[in-house]
Amino acid sequence: MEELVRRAQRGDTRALNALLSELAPYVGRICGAVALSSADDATQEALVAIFRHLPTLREPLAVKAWARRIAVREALRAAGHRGPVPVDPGDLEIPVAVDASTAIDVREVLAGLDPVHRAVLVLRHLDDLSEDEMAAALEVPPGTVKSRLFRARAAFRERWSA
Amino acid sequence: MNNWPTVELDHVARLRVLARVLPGVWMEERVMDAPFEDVWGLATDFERVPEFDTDVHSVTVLWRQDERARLRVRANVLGVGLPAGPVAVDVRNGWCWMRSPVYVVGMAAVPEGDRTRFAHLEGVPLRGPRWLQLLLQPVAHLSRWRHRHHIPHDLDGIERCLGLRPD
Repeated sequence: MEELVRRAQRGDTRALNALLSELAPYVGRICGAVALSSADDATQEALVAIFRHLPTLREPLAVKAWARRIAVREALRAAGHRGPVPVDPGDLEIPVAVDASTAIDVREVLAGLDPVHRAVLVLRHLDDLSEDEMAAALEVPPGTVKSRLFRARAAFRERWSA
Repeated sequence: MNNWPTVELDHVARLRVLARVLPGVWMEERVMDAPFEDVWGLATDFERVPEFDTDVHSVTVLWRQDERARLRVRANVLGVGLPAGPVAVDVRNGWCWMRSPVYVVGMAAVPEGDRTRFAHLEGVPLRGPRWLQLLLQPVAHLSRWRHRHHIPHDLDGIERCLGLRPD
């Protein structure tokens, strides 16, 4: 993907398109799980921000982490979150959705959570990020990440078993 | 895990992103009262482009294979066909991206029931380092202004060719 980023930075619109194909599903997953009903707008805004600022990205190898940070920020904004981002990663057990009805349940449970908790869950369970990577994506210290996932996990379990 | 809510950009939404990212382009979209196959079939029958785009004098398909094609385009300048450079094309169902060294055209379509949402993007992309974009800002403004007025005529032309509006 590094070469694709460099070509897109130089103005190659074919490379820009190819990079959009690479990043859009990833950004859509983050925004879909965090912004829920505002996910379409969040995804659009995140992709626009990513590609507008692409020429300023100094390390093309870091494009995915950089895009992740922007996607999380836009998703939280679209979900109405204000202020610093909270969290706490751990070994939470989130039900693995296996059919359409389970998918609807996951969406309903996520809708009952704070957007910040949704962000922690999606980064941990869809992206399998470490605490440090989550902290970078959420732009908070690793310690803050720890405390928030605890609450996210508890809230998810409570609503899932209700 | 795959059943968590997600967003998949359709072709038109994808073109909207590019329209906001490329400084010198403009995009218009319209719901046409015709099936997707008819709209998309006409839009990507490249040699018919002069029928609905008055800026184009003629198009010759040099080769077309799978999702790639190469065109020779002559621009229409006061009724005279002038070479507009080679155009490389990426095309698949509902998505088309054409580029010459200084110009891009994007088309996207998605079915909406029996109708079709069709989007058309065109202009001078002016992508590149920030300093270059700043330098060429007036060109970007001019290109956007020009295509803001031109693209609706292309869409009207497509609708005329489809029999959706009178000649």
